[in-house]
Amino acid sequence: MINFDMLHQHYFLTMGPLLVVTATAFVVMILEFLLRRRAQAWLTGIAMLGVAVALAVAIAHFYAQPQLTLNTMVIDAIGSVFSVLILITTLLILWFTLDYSRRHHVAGEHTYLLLFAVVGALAMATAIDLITLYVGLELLSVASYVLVAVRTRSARSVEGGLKYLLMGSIGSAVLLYGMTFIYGISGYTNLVQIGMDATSLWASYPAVVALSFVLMLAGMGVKLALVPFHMWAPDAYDGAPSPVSAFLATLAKTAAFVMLLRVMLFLFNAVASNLFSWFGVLAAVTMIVGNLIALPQRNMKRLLAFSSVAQAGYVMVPFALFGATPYTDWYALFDSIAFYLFAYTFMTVGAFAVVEIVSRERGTVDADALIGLYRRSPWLAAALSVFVLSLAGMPLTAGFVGKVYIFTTAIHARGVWLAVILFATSVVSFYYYLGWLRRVFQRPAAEGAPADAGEGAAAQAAGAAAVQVVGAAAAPDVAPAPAPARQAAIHSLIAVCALATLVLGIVPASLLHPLALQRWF
Amino acid sequence: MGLPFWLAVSPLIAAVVVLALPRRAWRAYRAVALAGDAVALALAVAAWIQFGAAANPIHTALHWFTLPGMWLGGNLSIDLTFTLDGLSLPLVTLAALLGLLAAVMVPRGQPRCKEYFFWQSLLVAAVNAVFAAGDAFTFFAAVELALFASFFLLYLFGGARRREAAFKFLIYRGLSSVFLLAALAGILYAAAGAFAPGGVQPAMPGGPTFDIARLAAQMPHLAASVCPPSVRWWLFVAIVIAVFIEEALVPLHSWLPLANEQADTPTNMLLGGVLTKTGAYILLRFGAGMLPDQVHGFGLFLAVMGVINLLYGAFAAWAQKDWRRLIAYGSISHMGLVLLGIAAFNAAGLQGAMFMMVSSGILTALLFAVTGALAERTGTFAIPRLGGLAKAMPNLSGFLLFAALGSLGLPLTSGFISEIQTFIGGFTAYPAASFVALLGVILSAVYLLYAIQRTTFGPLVQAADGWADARPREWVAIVVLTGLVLLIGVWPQLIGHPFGFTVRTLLGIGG
Repeated sequence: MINFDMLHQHYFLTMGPLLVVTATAFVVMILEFLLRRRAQAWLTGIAMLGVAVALAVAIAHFYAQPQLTLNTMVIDAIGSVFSVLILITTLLILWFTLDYSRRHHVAGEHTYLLLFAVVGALAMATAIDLITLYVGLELLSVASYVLVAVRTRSARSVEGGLKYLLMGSIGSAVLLYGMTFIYGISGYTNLVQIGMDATSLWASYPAVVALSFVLMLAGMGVKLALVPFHMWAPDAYDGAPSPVSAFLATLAKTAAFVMLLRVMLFLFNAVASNLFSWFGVLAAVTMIVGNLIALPQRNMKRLLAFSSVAQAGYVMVPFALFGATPYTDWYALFDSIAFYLFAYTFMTVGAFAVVEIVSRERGTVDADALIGLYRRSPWLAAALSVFVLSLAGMPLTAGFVGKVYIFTTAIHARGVWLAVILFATSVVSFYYYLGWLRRVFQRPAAEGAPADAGEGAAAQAAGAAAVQVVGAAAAPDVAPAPAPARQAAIHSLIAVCALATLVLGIVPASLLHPLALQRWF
Repeated sequence: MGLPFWLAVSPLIAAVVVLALPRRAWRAYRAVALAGDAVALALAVAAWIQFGAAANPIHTALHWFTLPGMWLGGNLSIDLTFTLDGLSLPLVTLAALLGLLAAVMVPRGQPRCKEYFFWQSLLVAAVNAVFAAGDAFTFFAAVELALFASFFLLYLFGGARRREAAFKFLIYRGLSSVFLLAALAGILYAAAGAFAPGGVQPAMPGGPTFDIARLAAQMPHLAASVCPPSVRWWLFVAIVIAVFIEEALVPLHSWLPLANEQADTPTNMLLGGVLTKTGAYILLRFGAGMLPDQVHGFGLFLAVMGVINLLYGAFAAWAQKDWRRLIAYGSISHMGLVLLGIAAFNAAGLQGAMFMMVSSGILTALLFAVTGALAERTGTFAIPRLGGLAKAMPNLSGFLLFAALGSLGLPLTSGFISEIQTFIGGFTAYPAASFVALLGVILSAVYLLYAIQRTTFGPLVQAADGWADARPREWVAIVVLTGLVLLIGVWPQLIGHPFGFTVRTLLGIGG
């Protein structure tokens, strides 16, 4: 009997979004060669269309039964939930790019590089083979290095790109090195097959498995910018164009988190109680250091970089709990990770968009550019308040629900110390988040209350000096003062992000319910 | 969505309306804030009627969201629950009343009035919700909201060192909420059986719950095999640390005098009147209500700390040169007595502690209102720079004297009935500590009368040109609060009735 299974496998079911985005990327690449540079907005529009189709495919298969094709690509709960998140994030980033490309010169490669990065991210979410996963990661990473350094005339952009390239390459190498040990002792690259042998591997070669775990954790730590592997993040975020910064903070992190989740659970679940507590150490260090180094930061984009380091620390908390939680309650860990990443995506993209508008209007990325924002544009100030309060974890915002979820799972799994650190560092983070809010609602020095006059004047002088310095440094790269009109794209993006942050905060069931229906394993 | 829900939410709605109003006059913002606070107070009064002689707890629950897969495959329900029982009813009424009076006391032409009324209404909503909360989640969210709102009131409005005071306030009370949250979440899971020595033992039908009434019914009766004593000790230690910071008890008290010194009068009325009663409320609700054995075990420690606070507060108040710092230390001294009453853990002691919370709240607010009104005219709170005010402003000076007499426990005032009950309870349980504590009563007379004598009698230090006696808005607050002090002093059954039910419940589980 001939086995025809290879011929009718469910290729489109497992790889639908991936294929659609790949096709879109090639179409955009070819069109970019054919069309002149003025057509940037059209290219972004086509890319958005393709991603929207891919998102529709992913949503259509949201509750599909688990399927495996070619022993490599899989559709399951992890794959479908995070594919949807990755595609939504891509839409937001492209939307952001649409506005950015109107005001700044954007390299023609920008759009299709972004799409290829998304292909890599989708592969990281749906592949179940170490080689495919690694190729996906490299596709995402290499595209990101170029995207960061694409403003070749800006020294900061090139510096950030170079740092990211060096650190990221070391991270990839370390990760690959860790994978080779597993391949060496098991003889497989397929996660399912290694997972079935995991217990006996641990019994025979505990040292090798532990070494491989630590190396892979370190490699992923670089990609996730966990402390102590976070050094590249502030420079890369600061140097990159704002949409790319938002991309690095959200999409690249989501992809790395889903890959970490899949690899660690398949390879090491049998020994979770032994090894997964290392995640806890990394999470604790990341939360503490990430929040403390953010305290004195005045540059808004660098602050968001440090804040995203700290936020990654919060997401690492459930990872540490897999070992201590009974299998029946693993659903809560998956749900809490997914919910937090959804919440984090909306608030972070929104915050980057507001920072982009403010820094464009004031010509500086110093936090004092926020002073008087409430007087200049109250709706923008309200949206920024929503994002910042959500990042800080205040009630009625998505960040609050996400933190409550992670916190309660931690208490449940007797990870009280992690829960306490999570909460204590959140309190610390109030300081710098509220610092932004204070500036937003502060009056500009000219019309300020007499008591504030001295301080405000000094701040304004500093701000003015910063304007001159930054303006001089970035002069060739900044477009001539744009007309205030035609901001509809970015304003609608901010409105969507703020709305999503509030909806997830006020009616969390809108996401918790679909997540609860997923069969994670 | 019943009565207690709207009690907490109506000032919140007022806050949102204030924020949404386009640029208006001071009067418009004040009207909105007053309306929100007045509705809350009216609902509190309605709750008294509904509570009635039968002592029905008034309960309203609103399901918010569900965290799936939290408990052996089950779910954890996150609700907004509001319950008014014997303990919370008088306190929530006090909070609503002081919220309204604080809004009345806001001076005409308050700068940045929109922001001011927004934060103030938010704070009133938060403290109402703190005392009306029926589950641990709602309670904690309300505590955090109160922290946030009062931080901004301190940070934006007040004296020259207000920023330093605000950040000290934020750091101290933020630290306190870390311990509070650890304790609350720990109690949640301990009551459900998560910390059983031999692995999880489902002890709560339907999985873990935040509901305070169910936790209080479950927690004290759990066997050691489900909730070992070591877990209870750690939980209680976390609660005690949270309470000491929240309540500004020595040695973690230093944020309160600074905050009171820098804040303006309406904020001080809320801060000293209700916000600093949160700690004692936590100790009664979650300490005595859920971990009674530990309150007994820590009894001597609590009693000794209570006496130390009573005496330290009194001595420190004596040394103060600023009326606001004096009142702050006086309130710390009162709270020492509350601690003594709770440590005694008998009917008189617990009831005395609850009376003391209400009485100290009213009297502290009254003292802040009167001294604030005096300072508005003389321009200073500094005791050495005041003198002879009885001649220039006889009415305000008279009320100041009355507030001081109430505060030191004159018969027929609320201070007297509170002190006498606490001491009866204290002498039964800890006679030696209570005997030393009596010294505090004498000291409170010394520091208050000394300050009064220097402020109102003697030669007039400053010129009295154009000093009007109390204005209408000040009359309202002062007369209402004075009336309450007398009412409770003459007719203690008013709040003794609801408190009595809670005392019997607490003694039922721990006596």
